[in-house]
Amino acid sequence: MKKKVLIVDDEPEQIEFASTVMEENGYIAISASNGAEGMRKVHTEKPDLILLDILMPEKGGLGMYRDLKQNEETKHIPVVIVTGVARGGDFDDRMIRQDEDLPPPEGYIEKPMNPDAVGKLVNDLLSKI
Amino acid sequence: MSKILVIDDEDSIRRLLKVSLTHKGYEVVLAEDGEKGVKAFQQTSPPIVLTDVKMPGMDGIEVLKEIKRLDPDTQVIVITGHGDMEAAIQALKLDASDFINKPVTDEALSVALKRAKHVLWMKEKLKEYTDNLELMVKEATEELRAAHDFQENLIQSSIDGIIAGDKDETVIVFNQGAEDLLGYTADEVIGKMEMGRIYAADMAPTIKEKLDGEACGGRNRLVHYETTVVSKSGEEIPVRVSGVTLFKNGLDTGVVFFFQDLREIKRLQRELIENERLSAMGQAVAGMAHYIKNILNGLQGGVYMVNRSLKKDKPILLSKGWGMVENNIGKVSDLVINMILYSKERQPDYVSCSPNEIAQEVYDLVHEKALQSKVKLVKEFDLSINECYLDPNGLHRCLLNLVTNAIDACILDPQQDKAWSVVIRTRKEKDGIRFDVVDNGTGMAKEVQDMLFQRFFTTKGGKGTGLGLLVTRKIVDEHGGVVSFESSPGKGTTFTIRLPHRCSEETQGNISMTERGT
Repeated sequence: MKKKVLIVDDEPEQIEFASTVMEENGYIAISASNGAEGMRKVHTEKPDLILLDILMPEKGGLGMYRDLKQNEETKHIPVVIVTGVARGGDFDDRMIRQDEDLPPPEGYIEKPMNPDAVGKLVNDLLSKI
Repeated sequence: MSKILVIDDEDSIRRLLKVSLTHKGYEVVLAEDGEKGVKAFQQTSPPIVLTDVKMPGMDGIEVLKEIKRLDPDTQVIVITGHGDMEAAIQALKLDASDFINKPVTDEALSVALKRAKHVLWMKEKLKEYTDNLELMVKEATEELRAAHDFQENLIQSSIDGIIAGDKDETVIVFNQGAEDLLGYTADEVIGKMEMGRIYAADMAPTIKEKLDGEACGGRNRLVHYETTVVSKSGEEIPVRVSGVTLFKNGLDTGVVFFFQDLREIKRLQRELIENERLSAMGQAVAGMAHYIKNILNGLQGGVYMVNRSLKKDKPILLSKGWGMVENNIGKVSDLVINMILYSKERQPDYVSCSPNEIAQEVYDLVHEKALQSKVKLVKEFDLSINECYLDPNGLHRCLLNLVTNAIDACILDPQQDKAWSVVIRTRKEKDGIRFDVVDNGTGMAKEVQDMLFQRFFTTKGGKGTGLGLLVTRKIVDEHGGVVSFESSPGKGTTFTIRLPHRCSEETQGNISMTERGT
C-alpha cells in the first residue's frame, strides 16, 4: 500500500510543488494550509510522514509541531521541517524546541526545495518504518 | 613738627626768635650769617626760612635768591629794618612770602608764619592733587589697555572666524579663526578687501538682506544662517554665520560677522547618513534574500512540474507548473520595480491621465488572484473625476501595493468562512482626489500599526519584503499627498491615499519644467 505524506503549508504553490514531488516518488500526498487543519488531518488521514512549514505566519506551524510531539499517538510520525530561514538546522532546532523537552525533528529541508533531496530524505525516513 | 631756619647776625635776636618760635611749636635751626644759613638750609631743608636782610657778607636778599634757587617752594620771610621799604619790595619781587619790620613783634611774626604755612599747605595740596591725577590717568590707561588686550585676545583666540567691516564694508578686523577658515592673512585683507567677497557667488546681497531684514533674528541681526564662503584657494566652505550691524550714536558704523566652520559637522552628518544607508541596505538585503528564496522555490517547483509533465505526458502538471513559473516571474518583476522606485531619488513623471483608468488597470491585474483566494474584489469609482495631472506609473504601483496587501490580509485571516472583500474606491474631494482600499481581512494590532512604515517591516515572513508600503509612501510624498490608514484587529483595514489637485500644466508649470529637466 502507498504511504501517505501530509504537507502543511500556507503557500498553495508549495503544496503543489511538494505534492508533485511526493506523488512522483510513489506516495499519496494530502495537504493542509494551517496547523489546525493539519492536526485534524493527522487524526483522520493517519499520515506516515509530515512535511511542515515552520514559518507560516500566524498559522501555528510551531504549535502543530508541539502538539504532534507531545501526543503519544502522533509522536512517532516523522516530521520534516521545511524552512526558508537561511541560518541552518541549529537555529531552527532551538527555535522549534525552545525550553520544552521536545525531540528534534527527523529532518530539515531548506527552501528553495531541491526535489531530489526531498525525495531521498523522505524515502530514507519511510524505509526505516 | 615743622622746621624753621632763622638767620640773623645779632645773637640777641636769634635767641629771642628761638624762644618765641620754639614756644609756637617749631623746631628751630639757627645760623649767624648768610653763608652758614644757606649751608644749614642745604643740610636741614626747612620749609620756612626767616632771614635778616642786613648782614655782613652774604645779605638776606642774596640768601633769598639762593634758597629760592635751591628750592622754589621754600617760604622765606625777610626781616627788614624799620622803614626799609626798598629792601622789602625787592624781597617780595624775589618771591619772598612776606616781610616783617624790626623790631619783630610777636603778632607780626604770627601773621607772617600763618600766611607762609597756608601757602605751604596749598602747595602741598596742589602737589598731592597733581600726583594723584597722574596716578589716576596712569591707572585708567592701564585698565583701558587691559580691557582692549582682553577683547583683542577674545577676538583673536575665538575659534569662530570673526570679521568686521567699516561702514563701507572694508574689512577692519580679521581674527585668527578667520585666517584659519579662509586661508588669508589679516594683513592681506584688512583695509584692502570688501566683506562681501568672501561669500560664494552672489550670496553677499542675500546676506545683507537677511541682516537688514526681520526674518533671521530681527532687524540688523543675523542669527545662525547657513551659507557658503570661498577660501583663498577657492574651496567652498559651508559655514553658519551670525552677524550684527554696529551703531554709534544711532549711526551705522560697520558690521561684524561670526563664522562657524561646518565642514566637520557636515562630514559627520554625511557619514551618519551613509552608515544609516548601509545598515538599511544590510536589512534590506537580508529581507530580500529571504523573499527571493521563496520566489526561487516557486520557480523550482514550476520547473520541476513542467519537466515531469514533459517526461510523463501529464498535461495537468504542465499548466500548473507553467502557471507557477509565470507567477514567480511576476513576483521578481514586482520586486525589482519596487526596489528601483524605493532606491531612486526621482521626481514624479507628471502627465495628464485618468485616475479611474489606473484603478481599473490594478483591478484587472489582481482580479484573478483575488478570485483564487476567495476574495471578492469590488470597485467603487467616482465617475466625476476628470483627467488629472499625476505620475500614472507611480500611482499604479501605489494602488497595486495596497490592493495586494489587502488581499493578503484576507488570505491571512484565521477566521473561517468569512465573506472576504477588498474595495477599491476613488473619490473626488474639494482639493484633490482620494483613493481608498478597504479590506475586511485580519486587521492590524497596535504594535503592527506602529511598525508599519518602518524600513522593511513585514508581517508576511519570507513572503514579503516590507518594501510595498515604503514605496507607496515615497511616491505619495513625491506627489505632495498623504497616506493614512485605519485598522482594527479581526475587522479589517482601510488605507487612504489623498493627492492634491494638479489639474493643469499651467498651475504646476514651473515645477514640471524643472522636473523634466528643461
